This record gives sequence, C-alpha cells and structure tokens, in this order.
Amino acid sequence: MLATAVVCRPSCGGSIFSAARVGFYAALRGYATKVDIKALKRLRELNPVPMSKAKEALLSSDNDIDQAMVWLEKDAIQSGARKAEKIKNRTASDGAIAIQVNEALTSGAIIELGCETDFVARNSTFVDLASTIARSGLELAGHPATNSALTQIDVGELSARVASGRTVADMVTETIGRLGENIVLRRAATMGTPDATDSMVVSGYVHGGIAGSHGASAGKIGGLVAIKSSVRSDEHRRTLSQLAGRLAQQVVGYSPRFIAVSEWQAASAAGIEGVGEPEVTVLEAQQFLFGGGTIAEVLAKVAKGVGAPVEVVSFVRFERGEGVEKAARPDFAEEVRKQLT
Amino acid sequence: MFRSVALRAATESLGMRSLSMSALTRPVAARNLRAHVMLKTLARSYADAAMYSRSKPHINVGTIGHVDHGKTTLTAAITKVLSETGGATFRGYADIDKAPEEKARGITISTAHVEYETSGRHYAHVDCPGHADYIKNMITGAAQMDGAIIVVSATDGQMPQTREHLLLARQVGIEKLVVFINKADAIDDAEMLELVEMEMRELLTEYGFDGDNTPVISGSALCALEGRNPELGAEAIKKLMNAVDEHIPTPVRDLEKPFLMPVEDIFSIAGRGTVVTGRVERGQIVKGQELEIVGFGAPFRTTLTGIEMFHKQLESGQAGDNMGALLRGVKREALTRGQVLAAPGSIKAHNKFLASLYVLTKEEGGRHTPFSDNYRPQLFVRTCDVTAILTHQRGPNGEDPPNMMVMPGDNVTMQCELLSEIAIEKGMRFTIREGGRTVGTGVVTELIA
Repeated sequence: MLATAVVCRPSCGGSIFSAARVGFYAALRGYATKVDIKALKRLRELNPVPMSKAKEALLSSDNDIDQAMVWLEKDAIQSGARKAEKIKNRTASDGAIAIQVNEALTSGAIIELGCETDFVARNSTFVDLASTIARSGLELAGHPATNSALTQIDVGELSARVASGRTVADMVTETIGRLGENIVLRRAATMGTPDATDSMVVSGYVHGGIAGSHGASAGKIGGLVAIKSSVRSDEHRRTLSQLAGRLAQQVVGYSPRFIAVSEWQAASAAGIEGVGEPEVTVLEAQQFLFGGGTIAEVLAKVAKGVGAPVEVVSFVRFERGEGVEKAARPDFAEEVRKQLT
Repeated sequence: MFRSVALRAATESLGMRSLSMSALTRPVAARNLRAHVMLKTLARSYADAAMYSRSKPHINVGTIGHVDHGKTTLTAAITKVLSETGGATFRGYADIDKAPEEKARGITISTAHVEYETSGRHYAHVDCPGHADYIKNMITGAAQMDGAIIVVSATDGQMPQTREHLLLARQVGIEKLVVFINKADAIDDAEMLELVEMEMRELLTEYGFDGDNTPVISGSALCALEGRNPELGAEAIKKLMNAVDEHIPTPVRDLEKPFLMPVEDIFSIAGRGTVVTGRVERGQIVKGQELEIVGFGAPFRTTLTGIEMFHKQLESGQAGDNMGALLRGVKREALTRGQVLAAPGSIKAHNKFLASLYVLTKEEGGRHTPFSDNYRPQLFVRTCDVTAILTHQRGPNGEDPPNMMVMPGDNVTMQCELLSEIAIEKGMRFTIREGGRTVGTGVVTELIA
C-alpha cells in the first residue's frame, strides 16, 4: 500500500500525505482517510491557513471542523516556527510603523514591524499585528522611571510581553506561518507616563496608514510627539492633543533632528556633523505645516490661549526600512534567466 | 508646396522637439521596438531573431502573487516553452534603452521585463517587487499592464494577501486576469485542486472580476522548466498562454484610434493660410477631412487642406509623423500652442479631473518637503503647459480628509483644476513641475468638468 504513495516534491517534506499512506495510518488509528472538501472549504474560511495545513488538520480530526480548529490552534506556533526558520534570512525591508497612545493621552508607543513586500504590509492581518504590538509597547511606557522622555525599548523585552494569552514573539511566529513572509519586530520606543494625571500630552501620526480590521492603522512613516503644559481642563487638553498630533505630522513631514535651537547650538559646538541649518533641522525653528509661523511661534500662541507655557518634551520619527541594508535584488529578467540555466 | 522658409525650418526642427515633448507621454510599446538582447542558451538558433514579427500586436502582462508561489519559475517556464515554438528575450533593467529625457526624469522603477511571443502576439512580461512599484509603473506609464497572471500555489491556496494582489490589479486598471495554480504536481487530490480554483473564482468575483469566466489553469512551472510530466508541465504552460492570448484583449493600437495632433507651432503663410506643425499622437488623417481644434476656448471645426512632411506634400498622415497641417479659413490668432487638432467629437476640453499622482522623491530629483492641499504646480501634457490647483477630495458633506499632507514618494489621488480648459481624457498622462524641475507624474482617472 505504501508503495503506491505518489512522489512528493522534495520541498513539501512529506507534509502532504498521499491518500494511500493516510489510509494506512487511518486503519491503525481510526482517522479519516479522505478529506471532506466541504469541511476543508469551511475551515479555510474560518482560519485561512495554507491549504495543505488545513487538510492535515481535518485528516487528524476525522473531518470535524471544531476539532480541526483546535488542532490548528495548537499547531500554529509550531508550523509558524518551522516556516520562520526556513525564511529567517530573507530581508524584511518593507513593513509598517504602528502607534498607540493611551486613553489619558499621557503615553505613547511606536513600533516598526518589518516584512518582505508591501502586499503583506497592507494586509489587515499584518496591520492588526503591528497595532497589537504597539499596544503591548504602551505597557512599557514609564517603566521603569524614565523621566517620561523618549525611551528606546529593547525588542527582546517587547517580544516577551504577553497579550491575550500569548507572547508578542508567538504572535509574530504565527503570522509568519499564515502570511509566509519573514516578519521582524525591528524597533520600538515609548514616551510619556501611564500616570493619567500627568501634565504630558502625547499624540502620534502615521503617514500612508492602512486601516486594519479593528480600526487601528499602520503605515510607512510614523511620528510621536510629547508636549507638556500644566493645564488640566479637558478642553485645553483636547487643544493640546490636536497640537501634538499636528506636530507629529510636522515631524514626519520635515524630519527634524533637534527640538530647540539650544540643542542645535550644543551639537554645532560639539562639532557634530550634518547638523544642517536650524530652519531645516530644528523643530521649533521650522515653519509649521499648518501655517502660523515657526513652531516656536505657534507654541507661544497656544500657550497664550490655554494660559500656561507649552513645551515640546520629545519626539521620535520611524520610517520603515530605515537603516536596513536592502539586498541588491537582481532584476526580474536576471532571475528568470538564472532559472533557465 | 508651402513656400514659407519658416515652415521648413519649423518642420526640420520638429524631430528633436517633439521627441522631448512626447517622451513623457509616450506609451511603452514604442520603446519595445528597440534593439533586443537575445539569450543564446534559449534560442534554438540565432536566426530566430529575424523571425520576430513586429507586426504582431504587443501586450504587456505581469505576474502577481506571493513570493513563494513561483512567479519567477513560471516566467522562466513560459519563456522556455515558447522559445521552443517561437522566441523569447530578456531585458534587464540596464538593457532597457532609455531615451535621454527619461533618464533625466530619473524616476527609479524596480522592474525589468522578459519578452516572448505566442503565435498571435508579442509580450513584454514584468514582475514588480511590490504594490507601490506597480502603481508607480501605472502612473508613469513605464510598464503599464494590459492584463495579469495571478499565480497561486496549489499547496497553499489563496493567501490572506491575495486580496491585496487583486486590489492592486483593480487599482492599475486591469480588467482581465488569468489564474495559474502552480505546484499542482504536489497535490494528489483532484478535489483539492478544484477547491483552490473555486476559492479563487469566489475571491475574483468579490473583487469585481468575472470570477466565473476567468480562465484558471493548473500546472507546474517547475515540471515545465525541468522538462518532465508534460501534462502538468509544458502542456499546462501552453494552455496558460492560450488562455492569456484569448482572454486578455489586445489594446487598441495608436493607428486605430481617432486622429489627434498636438499643436506645437503656428505659421501664417502668405497666399495659403495658416499652418500648424506637430507630431501626430494617434490615428490617421487624409487631406480634405474635417478637424476640430480643442482647448483654450470653445472648440471649432476646420478642414485639413494640405499636409506637408519634410518639404513634400502628402495625401495622408499618421501616428508618429511630424507634419505641417494647412487649415482652411483659420486665423493665426485663433490658434495657440497646447491646443490639439482632433477627429471631430473624439476629445473634449476639460479643466477639472481626478488624477492618480506619483510624487518624486528627493533622490529622483523631486521635492524635499511635503506639500498640502491647494498646491499649485505647472502641469505639462503634450505641448501644453498650464497652472494646476491640486486639492484633496472632500467627504460627502464637504468635510476635510483626515490627512492632507503629501510626501515625496507618495502615490495619491487628488483633484486637479486647471486655469485653462485643455483637451483631456481618461488615462492621459502628465507631469507636474515647479521651478523648472519635474516633481511628479500623474494619470487622469476621472473627468469632473
């Protein structure tokens, strides 16, 4: 009976059982010998795993969809890990930036999740994963005491965080299994504090955002800005939140390097290269994207309106693929030519 | 014979000038007529090059699919199978003979293409790494796809991102697809293959394609490439290409389209009348036919009473010709550069439309900073140059969109309003410039007014 097993491509590694071989085991273990195609279709609708994986799940569950779902759930991390191992060296220079800000607007997190193509970066499964990771990152804001300033988070620490019963690392692994591309949590940062009574106002902006299935979005460039003012009224905090959002957009659009001219002067004096002109590299000296003069002038105006000084505490800008060495991709014709020789 | 020396000088200088103007809107097909690099290992004999019939209709196709589903292998397999019956060539990006204007334009497009031909048609086959590259190609016209082959592996079936693949096809204006289910040799259950096919048909329908009538071919590109299992190998590839031949329509060729010639220069010739020079963009015309002059004011009709090319009077002109057109009863003052001479009723003047724009990056010579709503660059199309006002589309109740910032490198849809009405149609490409440099290119997606 085994001798009739069809020849399998070397790449399928024996994961696709021939009907004959399954039949052999089925006789011993009481499994279904043939997959129920209707059940297979339904299972794929419920959980879009690769076709061969869905088949394996059903054959191991006597064509019972509920059992197959459980089987897939158990198998997800394992098969994701196998896939991840296989493709771990592929460059993941595409991807998305996701941002989350807490409800009190006192803290924010920004993360970069890399993948191989923008098709995957635009898929809601990926976008949802990116925003879930950003939400996990939010829990790290202000821990330990970071003076509420910008803090780069260790990717390993974030990967070990648990959300909905699973670690971030496991979620990434499962998604690799599902989307078949290398996915890498590249970097993360937070600012602000979880203390809802703090005078910090944090807001973010993601450029070219693609909405996921839960409304959150992820895009190609993201900026996060924290401003501070002693005002407490909800109305004023709304004004400040809008301002911080616009400043985040300014950061994304004009990529400043410094907050204030004093920082620029210090950097110049220290002989740091490429500090540029203050009008270009200093946030407060830049013309505001939304009009009204320089950022410093706009801050002064808003301060007058809310009756207390307003200052920019920190900002951060993530652009996807930044600093990733892109593999020199041989052009398509060259790749096709190679396959032919 | 037109007696004016001025006219002769004008027609002589036309070659250079019209090239520079048209390079921005020239369709890709024109470029494909250039020299080819034959791949020796493939061609049965070098003499095959001579067999290439340039009279065959030309089609641009692309492969879209997941990175591991075998797009490159499939393309190689098509090339191999067709090289045994027809021919195939490779054109790496570096091989593509670009006009200097395009080099200057400097838009980087990560694509190269492979050419092959079936008995009926000649193909250029592209494969871009991602969504953004395909969109850029569509907008700039660098590698417009007339149809696409969606590649999906039989072992995986459609993937979550297959949705993004179909959305892309929609977005670049592809109406007809052909599906290739690859790696069918790894599946021993015919019903499973049928399920992969059924799921694809459902998804195609969900995304606005004709799921029921889209050809779906199962096979194995690897088998075809390695010359084994002919039923799933070479035969499946032939079936696939037959389906592509039959299902993806041949685009209307420039010659078959209604006549259109942009006005470059205007001359008054004593005793004869007014002569307009330009390069015929499409269609054909015979002396004595009626023409309409469109753009910059109300359109009006006239009769073409003479055609001159290289100092010779001709009876007819056609796409690609640089010609002087003698117009009956038209005052010089009634004409201006940027208007078009067109077959009556074939094109109308507009000043408001929606366009997909690609904004050049700093590295491509574009802007360094973003722009926002109400951006006013110069818009260049054909021989015409007019100020445009670019605004974002408003919501149903006139509300502002949440984000109005447009950054270098972005693809974006905006409303364009021109200060003068010019001849515009859907699918027309243009460039936008400011301060003498190109900052973006665009394609008209919908006419508004």
